[in-house]
Amino acid sequence: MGKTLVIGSILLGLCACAVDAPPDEDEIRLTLWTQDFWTGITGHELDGVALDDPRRAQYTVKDWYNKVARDFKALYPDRKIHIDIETLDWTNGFQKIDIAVASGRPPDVLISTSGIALKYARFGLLEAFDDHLEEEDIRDFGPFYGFSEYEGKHYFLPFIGGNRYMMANLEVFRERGATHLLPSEGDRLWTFDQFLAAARATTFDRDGDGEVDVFGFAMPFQRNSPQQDQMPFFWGHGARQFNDSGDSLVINSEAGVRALQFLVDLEHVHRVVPAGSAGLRNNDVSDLWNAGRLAMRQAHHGTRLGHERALATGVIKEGVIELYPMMYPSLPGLDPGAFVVADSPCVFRQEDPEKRDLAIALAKFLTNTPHEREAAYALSTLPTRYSALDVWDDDPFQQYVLRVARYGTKDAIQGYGIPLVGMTLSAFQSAMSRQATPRKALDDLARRGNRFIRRDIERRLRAGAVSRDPGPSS
Amino acid sequence: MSLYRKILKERWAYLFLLLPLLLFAVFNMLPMAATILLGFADYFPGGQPVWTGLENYAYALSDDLFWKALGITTLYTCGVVPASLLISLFLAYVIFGLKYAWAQAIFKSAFYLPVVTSGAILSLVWLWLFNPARGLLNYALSFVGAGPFMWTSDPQMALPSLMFMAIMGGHGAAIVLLTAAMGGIPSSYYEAARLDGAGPWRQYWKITLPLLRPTLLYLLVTSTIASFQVFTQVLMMTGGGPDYATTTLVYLIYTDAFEYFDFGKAAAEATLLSLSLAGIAVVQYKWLASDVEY
Repeated sequence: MGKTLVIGSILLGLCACAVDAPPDEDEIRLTLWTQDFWTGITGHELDGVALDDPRRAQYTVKDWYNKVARDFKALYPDRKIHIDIETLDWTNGFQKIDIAVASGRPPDVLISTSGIALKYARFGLLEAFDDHLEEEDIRDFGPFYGFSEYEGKHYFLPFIGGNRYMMANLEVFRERGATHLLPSEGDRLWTFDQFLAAARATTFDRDGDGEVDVFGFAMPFQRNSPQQDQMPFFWGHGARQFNDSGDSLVINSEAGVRALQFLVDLEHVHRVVPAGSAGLRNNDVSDLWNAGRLAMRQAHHGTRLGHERALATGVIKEGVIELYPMMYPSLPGLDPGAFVVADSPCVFRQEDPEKRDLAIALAKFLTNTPHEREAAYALSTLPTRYSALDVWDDDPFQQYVLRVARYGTKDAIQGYGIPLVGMTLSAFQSAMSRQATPRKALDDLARRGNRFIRRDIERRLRAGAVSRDPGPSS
Repeated sequence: MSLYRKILKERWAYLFLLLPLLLFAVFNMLPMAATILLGFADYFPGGQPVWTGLENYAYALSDDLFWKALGITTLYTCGVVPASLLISLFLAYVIFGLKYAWAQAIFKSAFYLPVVTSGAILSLVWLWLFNPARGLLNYALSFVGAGPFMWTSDPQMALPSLMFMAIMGGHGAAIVLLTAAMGGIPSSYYEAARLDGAGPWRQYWKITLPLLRPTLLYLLVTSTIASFQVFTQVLMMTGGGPDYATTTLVYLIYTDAFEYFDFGKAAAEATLLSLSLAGIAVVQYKWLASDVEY
């Protein structure tokens, strides 16, 4: 009898664990997943606070979203809305989304990078915003709205704008008497020859041990985004990664080969970048930069904020770095190209129209003008609405960053951009480590990438996620 | 006694076995069956699997990266498994020879520690050791005028670096099993051998090693399987690069599934890997187990 009771209790307990609490029929539950963009509500609560200060525990990466969720629910006093917020870190978050999507349980609203949103748009998993936006909103988003277009429809709302440009460390240039080599007029545009001259002048042996210890330039080739780091050098040569419709790799053009050859030569001919670039990661480049051993690197919208925080925490010593933003080099007569992006809310396909409308309303609410201002201030990013541009009115540095966002190219944000990151990086690594010539590396990339794209389009056609003919893509 | 009566008699044993069996079925057998089926279908996130016959197998086998990954994984296994077994055998012999039991326990625990440490943490530690600019390995080698080496950055060195990492750690389980097996060899065999004039090397070669054969066979099969499934180190340390130099089969399966969302191809590759491993295990048993008694 005793045994039966014990076993019965265990089985009952297991059953109880397996059954969820009954849902409230009137309640609408929305799941909002977001990358952990910033901590606190303003993102600046912890400025100057030491890493071991207990006050840090008060603030979380959910604070701002909790506030927004409260405000959103207040707009619907007659409805019971529950918003589950989950933040994703930048290391494993993407895998978590992929697994959730693959298992058929994606969140209702996801705020991640635009490339990720387009990746899911490719599978026909997202709701399009076209029928849910006013003309006024579309005008206000300006060019950022165009980035969300995939096969004629728009699948995300621009939220956290970001861009890439170049940064020089004026301290190194002063040390070498080479500040005159930097571009200074207008948008600070320059040519590859000028860039190379600056890199050569700032590559030197500082401690006199016979080894070069300060480099003119460095960039990561491992665990990074080729669209952010390498492609600007291709765009500056007039090359592109994808064709206009984004369904074929055309990076193995003559211009593309010249661009990759230029990068290879930086290491193996001019020796202005560290040896073994093929294996460099972002943090390796940051280590060199923070130690004052790098004259130029790539920068993004939040670089200055990061710099100020690194100074405050002692990661960068006073007097080691002075920031000087400028654009990527390009061939004479060609505009430079840059990675410009908007991390963005997207809405996964919904069967319940009421829930779909609420999810879309939440995405729109997240990206309204006051929230654009708050996000831009918190992260030092670009507002993605004209009506929020005033947030950086008094800041010449951010004004420059905003200004050069106009060099952004749609080639940076294509549906196949994210899936082909691994292949693209491998091709670049292959050329940088001289396992293959730039021509062979890019031809192999185009062959392999277009094979993948062809199969992917066939699969999407079969699944009904795309309705048009794939056409030739080799 | 009828089968029913037998089961009834042992009902408590079966009841307690039920839960592990259910867990095994749900978390091992069902996913395996689903993977095999998925290999013959095209699954698109948000949709239903569509039967495609052998298309995924044909696509996987015509992918040069599949063959490259197979080659890399085979090379990794051929390098890591024999070297690890030899080192484990040597270490087990030395530890077993220690006079005091407490000393044996200390060394066994020390060698076992990496086994219970997360592979991700170990990878991070090794990443630091391999760091070209600040790593301990290059720093140590600089004293003899060697390096700096681009351990994981150079396509020629990346795979040997991962192999080196695998060979240097992970002997714990093998040492525990081998020392336990050594303890099971009757001491009378050694006494007889000594009386016949056999030295330590001859005793080891003629008595210890043959009697360790079942354990060695077990270790060979399990470590071959584990080596073919190497993944964490690749994901954490090299991401399969540079230039696919460390793209192993399981890493390829992972990228096909979660980078390209090509679950059918990934499932086909996983099935091919399982079949290959089963084949290798059969060959190993046939080759080594002819006179093994359990």
